[in-house]
Amino acid sequence: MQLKFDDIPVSDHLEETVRSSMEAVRKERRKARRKHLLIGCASTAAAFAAAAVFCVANPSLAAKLPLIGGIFSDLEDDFIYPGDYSDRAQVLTPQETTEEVSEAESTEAAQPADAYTATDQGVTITASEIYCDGLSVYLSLDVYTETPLGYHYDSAGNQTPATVYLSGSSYFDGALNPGGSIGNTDFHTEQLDENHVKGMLKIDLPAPSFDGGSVHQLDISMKAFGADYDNPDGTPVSVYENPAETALWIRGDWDLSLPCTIDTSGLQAFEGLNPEDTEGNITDVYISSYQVIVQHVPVPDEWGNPMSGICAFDQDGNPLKHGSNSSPFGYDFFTLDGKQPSEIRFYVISDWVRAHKIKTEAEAAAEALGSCTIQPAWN
Amino acid sequence: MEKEILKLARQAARGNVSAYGSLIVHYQDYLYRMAFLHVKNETMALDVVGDCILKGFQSIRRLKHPEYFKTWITRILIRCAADAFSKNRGEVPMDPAGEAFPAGTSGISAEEKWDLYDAIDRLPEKYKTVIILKYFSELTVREIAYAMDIPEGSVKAYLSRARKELRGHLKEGYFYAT
Repeated sequence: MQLKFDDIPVSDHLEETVRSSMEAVRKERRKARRKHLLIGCASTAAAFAAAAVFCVANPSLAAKLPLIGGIFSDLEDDFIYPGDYSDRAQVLTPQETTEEVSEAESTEAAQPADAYTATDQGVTITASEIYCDGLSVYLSLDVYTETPLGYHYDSAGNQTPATVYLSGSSYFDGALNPGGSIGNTDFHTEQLDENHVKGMLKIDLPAPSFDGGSVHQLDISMKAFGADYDNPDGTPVSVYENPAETALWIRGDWDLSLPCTIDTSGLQAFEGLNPEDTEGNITDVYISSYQVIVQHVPVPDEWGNPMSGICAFDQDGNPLKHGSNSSPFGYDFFTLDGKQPSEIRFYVISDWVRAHKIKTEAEAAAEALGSCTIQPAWN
Repeated sequence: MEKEILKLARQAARGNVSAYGSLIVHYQDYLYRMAFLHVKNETMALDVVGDCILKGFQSIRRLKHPEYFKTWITRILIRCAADAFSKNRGEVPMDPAGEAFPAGTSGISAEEKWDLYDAIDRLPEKYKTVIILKYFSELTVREIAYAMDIPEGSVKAYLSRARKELRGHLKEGYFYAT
């Protein structure tokens, strides 16, 4: 008789074991990266030659040094559009090196004077890395604030990172980017300490770009920096004067001017799917290695307001996660979550809120006003 | 190797945690069964799988050939199983109710299966490993050599000696080599 490997029954606790082990892997990776970045901070002397001296002489100043590079690799797996950005990104090395300053002068802001960093109201925002997949720009930022941030506290009293907000707008090649307002994007952050946060941000292009290799200018104009966090007893800090009573809200001007190179290596387009522009039908689908953008002709409600939205499922009927709750009507964003589905089926639902809640394809099909199937090809 | 698995393996080899996690989920049943074959205890097998997952990621950047991810992770699993087994030697309870190997699906009784696995278990560690990898995982001799980090000639020698010892433990007809 033949030995049968598959006869061995699998433990009911296996999935739990795998889950907790992968969590341990992620924790260890974050620890290793933090250590690597701290070591890297001390040795990135090319751009911060003089400032590196202060790492030893003045630890409090060392904490203010922005992280250049390495943020994508730390955050990309937990970003809402997870994927490999770090291998493809351009690291935004400052244009000018800092001049050597004396220790007495070091008490003033000693930031490199270039286009990738801006300081106002005690907050310094530095762009660290940038990548564009032809649909959106992904940007990593280092934020240092003189005003300390608090933390959230979970039910066990453990500290978890504060929620951080940015507010502003973006310009692509000099023109206001209507879909690229800062504030509606998913700003995924990691809090290093009370004064220091690093994060990843997604800014959608005004339109998909198929001009691979072309270099464009992305100008970002931020007007506010905010945060939510808790009191030590776990109750939220709420400041009445702040918008939405956030714990911290600092108004200022932070302008960054960044080069943006289009990478179309993973870009796919399915256009002209609804030549007659009929309501409730999908017109175009764009796919990169990280996301799916679907455009449809919205169906208005009884008062003429566009209300419809889309849900999507892969070849196995698994739902694709929505990437944004605040996209303009007619546009829906989905994260590929690191996967490469061989087929994606889209359903237009009359109410976009309902579209975000539908979990099964059977429900979607039953309620759909229109539908469409595409078969992406992957390298 | 499936295209998607190979792509995940390449990403994992560069340190991509998500890709590594996807691979682990893909192979989790295989890893558990391999671990169980070595340690014969559910709790220990789960511990072995957990250790393997962590140690695998710690050394993922040393994976030079992503197309051999399965064999490579098997190697790590074998080492974790050997560590766990040597720490708990003599304390591993066998499955008293005989539920671990339900009869019927492969035409032999649970009792016969226990005889077989018991015989395999009595082999010296390296013989046991080649038997498990050859007849349960269906790895080739080359893959076994890679997984065990030994020459192919040694694999063949171990297989030959292991089969001879098993025949000594078992009655004729229980076992044949394919």
